[in-house]
Amino acid sequence: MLFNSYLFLLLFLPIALMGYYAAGRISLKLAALWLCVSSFIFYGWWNPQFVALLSCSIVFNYVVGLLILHFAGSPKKQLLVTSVGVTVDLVVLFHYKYFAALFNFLSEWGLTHGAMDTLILPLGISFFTFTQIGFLLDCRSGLVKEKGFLSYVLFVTFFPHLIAGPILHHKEMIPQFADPANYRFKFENLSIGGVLFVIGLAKKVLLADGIAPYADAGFASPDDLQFWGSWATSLSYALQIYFDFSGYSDMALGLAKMFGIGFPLNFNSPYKAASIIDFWARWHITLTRYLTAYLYYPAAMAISRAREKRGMTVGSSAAKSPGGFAATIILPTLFTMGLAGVWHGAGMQYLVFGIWHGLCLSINHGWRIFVVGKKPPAQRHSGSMTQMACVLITFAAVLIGQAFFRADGMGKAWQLIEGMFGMRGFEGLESLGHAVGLSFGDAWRLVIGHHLQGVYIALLLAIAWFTPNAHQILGGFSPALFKTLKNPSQLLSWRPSLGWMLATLLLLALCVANVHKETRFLYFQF
Amino acid sequence: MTQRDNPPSPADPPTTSHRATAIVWMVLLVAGLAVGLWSLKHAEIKPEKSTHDAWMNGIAETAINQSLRLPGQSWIEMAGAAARYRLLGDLGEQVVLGCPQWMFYHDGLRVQPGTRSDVVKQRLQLLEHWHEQLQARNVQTLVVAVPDKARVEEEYLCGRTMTKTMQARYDELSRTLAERNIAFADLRPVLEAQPEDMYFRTDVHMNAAGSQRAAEAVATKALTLLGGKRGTQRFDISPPSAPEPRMGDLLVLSGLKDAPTGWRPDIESVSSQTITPVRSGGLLDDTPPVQVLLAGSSNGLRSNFAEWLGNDLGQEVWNLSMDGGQFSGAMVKALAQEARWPASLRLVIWEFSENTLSLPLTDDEKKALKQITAPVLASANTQGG
Repeated sequence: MLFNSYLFLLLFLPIALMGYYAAGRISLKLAALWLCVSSFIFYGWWNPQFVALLSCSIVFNYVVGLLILHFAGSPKKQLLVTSVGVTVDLVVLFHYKYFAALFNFLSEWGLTHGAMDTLILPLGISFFTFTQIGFLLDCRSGLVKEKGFLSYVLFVTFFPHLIAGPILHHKEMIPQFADPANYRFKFENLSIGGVLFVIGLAKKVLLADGIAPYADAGFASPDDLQFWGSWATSLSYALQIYFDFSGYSDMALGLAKMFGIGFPLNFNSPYKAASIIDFWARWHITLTRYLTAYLYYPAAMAISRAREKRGMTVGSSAAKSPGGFAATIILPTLFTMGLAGVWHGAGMQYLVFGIWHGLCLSINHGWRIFVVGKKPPAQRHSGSMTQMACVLITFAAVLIGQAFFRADGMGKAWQLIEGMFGMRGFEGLESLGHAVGLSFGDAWRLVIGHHLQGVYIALLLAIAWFTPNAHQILGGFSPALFKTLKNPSQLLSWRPSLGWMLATLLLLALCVANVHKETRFLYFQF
Repeated sequence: MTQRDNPPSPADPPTTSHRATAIVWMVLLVAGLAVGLWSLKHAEIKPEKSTHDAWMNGIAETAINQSLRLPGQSWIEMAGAAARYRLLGDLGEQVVLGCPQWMFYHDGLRVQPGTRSDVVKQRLQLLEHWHEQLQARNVQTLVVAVPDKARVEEEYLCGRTMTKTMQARYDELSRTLAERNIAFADLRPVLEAQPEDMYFRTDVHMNAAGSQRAAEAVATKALTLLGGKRGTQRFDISPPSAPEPRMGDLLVLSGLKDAPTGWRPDIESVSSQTITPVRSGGLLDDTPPVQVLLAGSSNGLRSNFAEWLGNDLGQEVWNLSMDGGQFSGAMVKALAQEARWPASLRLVIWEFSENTLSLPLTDDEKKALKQITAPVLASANTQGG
């Protein structure tokens, strides 16, 4: 089920919410059960057959989690059970996500025969698999204390995060589901959750879906694009994916808040980042957190241990030499980002996307250590012009990565990048000449209509760069578990007032008038 | 990780301020539920979309999603479309505005997003396959690709362009058909650079002048395939009627059918004409046996294309053209009834719009392609079934 559908807005949400608080007045378990059932219906509405897969995955991981906890005194057995659990999870994920692609890739190389149709990817499989792998690893690390099955099912299936995140930690959710206070209706939950949901809905329906056709058209045939067309396509996609995914995340946080639950922040104005390190601290924050905890740190630790055994330097002193920097920073970064790329899908372009970001992060780390780090502290602050240049360079690096992320294969990604470098020439502004001599209305429609993509891009970039994000607007009311930056704008600081209510209702009306298209979220495919 | 830089303000308003906001949300949720239930009660779900299988694979759920509508939804959509046109010159995703008042189908200008790049190659494969199938029963094929309006009425694009990829596809079709020795009526020289408009202003189809010219060119080519001898059937051609308003399909497609004047491109006024075969009457007034089948797209049903074709051939044409048939809908339909074709049939004129070459494959086309690419498997399946 989509958040941006009449079915969700008019039927599912009111029934789920009313049922939840009504059940909460009778019994907490009943309310939790109601929420689990609602979440399964939410998930199964797309394709009921995959409810069985989700259920099996939950039961399997719960049992494995109990076994890991049971073998707490026996590290070897614990490691074995954890390995089996994680392996089974990854095999299932591999089966749905990569097997057909790998088979066809091998077939192209003559190593297998025939071709396989790509399997239907169960919605949210990457998200619920990663959430549960995190749970198993947390069980092994001794971070899991609560063992209740209902709580666990709710942790995995709670519908606001089930399909496209945020990726949650067991330890930050279970205490919330166990707290009786969260099952009691509070006006502020609805007041704050409602406004955040509407902001997210507007991002998706009005902004992301508005620019999406331009991105889709450009990526459909990048070899037809010249300089401006290529840049417009690249920017359109950058804005589409940002408003789509951050809109989804805002809706998820808003919905969770309506049910009295807080989620971690997932986006924090990533296009305002002045470095690629800063970008990843602001973009899909819960994935970055997950990758850092479960891939980067273990890889970096393994390298450090290996270096220690050989009597080499470790830690920050190791990174000061080129060899040590390569081993302790570049290697784990490329490993982590390469896997992060492949996590998004089967295809060389996803790997290139990951490696590109890994390289950018490594260069950024190198710059900080070898250039900025060698300056006296007083000289490390940069002026506003330098800051702007840093934001633009970071954004350009992100656009290059997104070309690979979005294109249907390496060839098309290169075609787009070639166009961005002007290798297929430059377009003229022919339509302006045609407007001469027309009535004002016709001339306006001709000029604006022919350059609507540019208008959208300018508007959306202005929103992304120059306005506070949803959580800055909410300020202290934001339900995010960790907060965003301070809001520089007094005017755009939300309060539960009549003016804000009217503004939110206007936004909601615009969204509802456009919801009938029911476009899917981009991250549903990952 | 980002720091908590803005702790909740000590001056946060008390819960009472949230109460009013929350009550508004509660009212909206209840009102939404009432509307949702009302809409659900009035939803019309086709029986084939409410079977057990449909429920299990998500088709029924999708149908329910799509059936839900707000009261006044049509008006809201029309108002939105009209405002977008009037204020932004925007006609939605499927239609674009060229010069003032001129509407074009977007899929004629650029490749439809989400379409695989090998669809043209696959369609040419189908074309060759069906040509061979017809040849095997001594029926000839004449392929007719109606050029896109954007190609013919280029001067009304006012700066918009047809992409190079789309431009090249007509040539690719023409070249491939020549290589395979399949008869082809290239309508570009017939329709391009004419002093009068060949297409409707608010519709994707050819107007009366365009249709008449196209039919004449197709008939000339067809007659060479039929031995050069024109038939003897005569047709009555009425004089053009007084112009009447005609709702263009692009106006409908852009949601502006019911928009007020000034909030949509103006409706065209068009004269109509009838072309009917002359019957001698009497008990034994048998029509001549049909020799030509027109498996066409919606072009075959507009502006008297099929009738002009019959007139120019001197014989009635068996017209199986269909709306929404895209590249091969009519051909698939015609081939499905191949066993009942009259023995007199000598020529199939397969007509489609140029842009349909570049659309995603239809289910019928995918099925036919599978049979071509895996004939052994297909035949084994057929025998097994």
